[in-house]
Amino acid sequence: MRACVMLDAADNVAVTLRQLAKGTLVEVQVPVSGDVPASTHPVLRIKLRDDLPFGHKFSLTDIKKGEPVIKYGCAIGCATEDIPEGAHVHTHNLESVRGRGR
Amino acid sequence: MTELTGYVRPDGNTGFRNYVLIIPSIVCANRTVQMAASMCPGAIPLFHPFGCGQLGKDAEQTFSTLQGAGKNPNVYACVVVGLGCEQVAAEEVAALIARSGKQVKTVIIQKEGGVLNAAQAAARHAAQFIQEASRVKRVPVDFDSFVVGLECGGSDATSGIASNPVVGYAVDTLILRGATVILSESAEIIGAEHLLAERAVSKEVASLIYKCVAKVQEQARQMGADLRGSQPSPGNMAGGVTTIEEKSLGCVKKAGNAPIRGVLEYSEAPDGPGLYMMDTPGQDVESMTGMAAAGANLIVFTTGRGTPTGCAMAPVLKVCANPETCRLMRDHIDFDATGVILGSESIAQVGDRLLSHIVAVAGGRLTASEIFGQWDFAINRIGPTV
Repeated sequence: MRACVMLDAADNVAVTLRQLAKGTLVEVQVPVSGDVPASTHPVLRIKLRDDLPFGHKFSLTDIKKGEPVIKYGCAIGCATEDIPEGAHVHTHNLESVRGRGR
Repeated sequence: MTELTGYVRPDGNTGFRNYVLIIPSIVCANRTVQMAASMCPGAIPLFHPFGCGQLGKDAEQTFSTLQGAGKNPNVYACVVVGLGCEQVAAEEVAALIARSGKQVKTVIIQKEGGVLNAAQAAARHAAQFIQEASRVKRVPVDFDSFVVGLECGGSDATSGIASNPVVGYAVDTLILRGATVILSESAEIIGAEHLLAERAVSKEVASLIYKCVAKVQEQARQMGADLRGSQPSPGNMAGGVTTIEEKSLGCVKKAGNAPIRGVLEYSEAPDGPGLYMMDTPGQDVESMTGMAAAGANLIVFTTGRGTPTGCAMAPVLKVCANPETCRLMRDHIDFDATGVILGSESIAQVGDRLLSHIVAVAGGRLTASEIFGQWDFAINRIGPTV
């Protein structure tokens, strides 16, 4: 079973498919469009800086404060602080830019 | 995929169930409806707190939802119960439902001489309808008889990765075969509206999609509130969904890839096959009620955290791809899509299995929401009580 999934080649986060401990070295398969054998997909190797629950996100690269966080190939909000590669990305460092009432 | 069977109604629409509803036109009739349903357990009672003290478009929306509920082709016949002095008159609701050609009886509490007599009269009508409904035979029907509503509730990270793409795969096939499919929940397209607008059949439809989103954001602004307090919900966040954009990008995957033919108002019936978006709130029961009042005869509902909700007018098929939820909340999950997460099945493989399951449910296989009697019903309110 895969440890995580990267949903679009443009993404700067991946999603865990099981609970992963801090320090784990994970291999992230970069999705490739078209009928390409899985063995030829590029792979990123990321060392996790945080414990990650199932279904949560971690960064695939350094993301600067104010930069968009990309998942599904689209912006899902902005980093509220500098996020180093391999860090848990969630409500503590990622904020929506939509639906603000005030 | 096996053959699709259903009940063809006098207006030409197809039902996949033979529900008999007892509908209050006004909050004051709720207790009578409850008593009638307890005397006649085969009937489905609706409850709502509205029907008086409503203004303009809000009163119209309550009216159109009640008559749409009765008209839903899954409903064989219905009994409408009124008090006698209410704004949303039972006779008017019943007259509109009767235009579909199905049988409707009206019971007015003030004419019957109180709740006891009215409940007994309503139960007696319902009993007769249930007996008649049991004699109606299923016949083979085409996919163009399908009006499938899409809903998600209690989403988590698995919704956008697995269960919604699986539903999207099934939806693409249903549409190719001539079905009508409705995507709902305007708040849950915020951040993904551009992807839907690109698929609109015209500039007008694209601008209506943007309008739905602008409306939700304006409503939050008028309340001086921040949507982020409610979207994503605390449960969504615990499940790994951080922002509304992320939730929406996952949500819209259940609408597959077909062109979007139109944007419907709450409880407005689509006027032909294809994919539509309906402007409904993100609250699941109000959203499903709006789609079922527009004629949806089956609802496919994806969940990550698990939820028991159902719909009084349609079977609700729950799809889940979270292995822990499929274990813990198994009583409420109809379809297991965990293969995508576990890596044992592809989205297409699970999607094909889901299509067979949808056809089976249409053909009479019960869903958990039906077995547990989750006859949920909630009208979306858009005005103040006066």
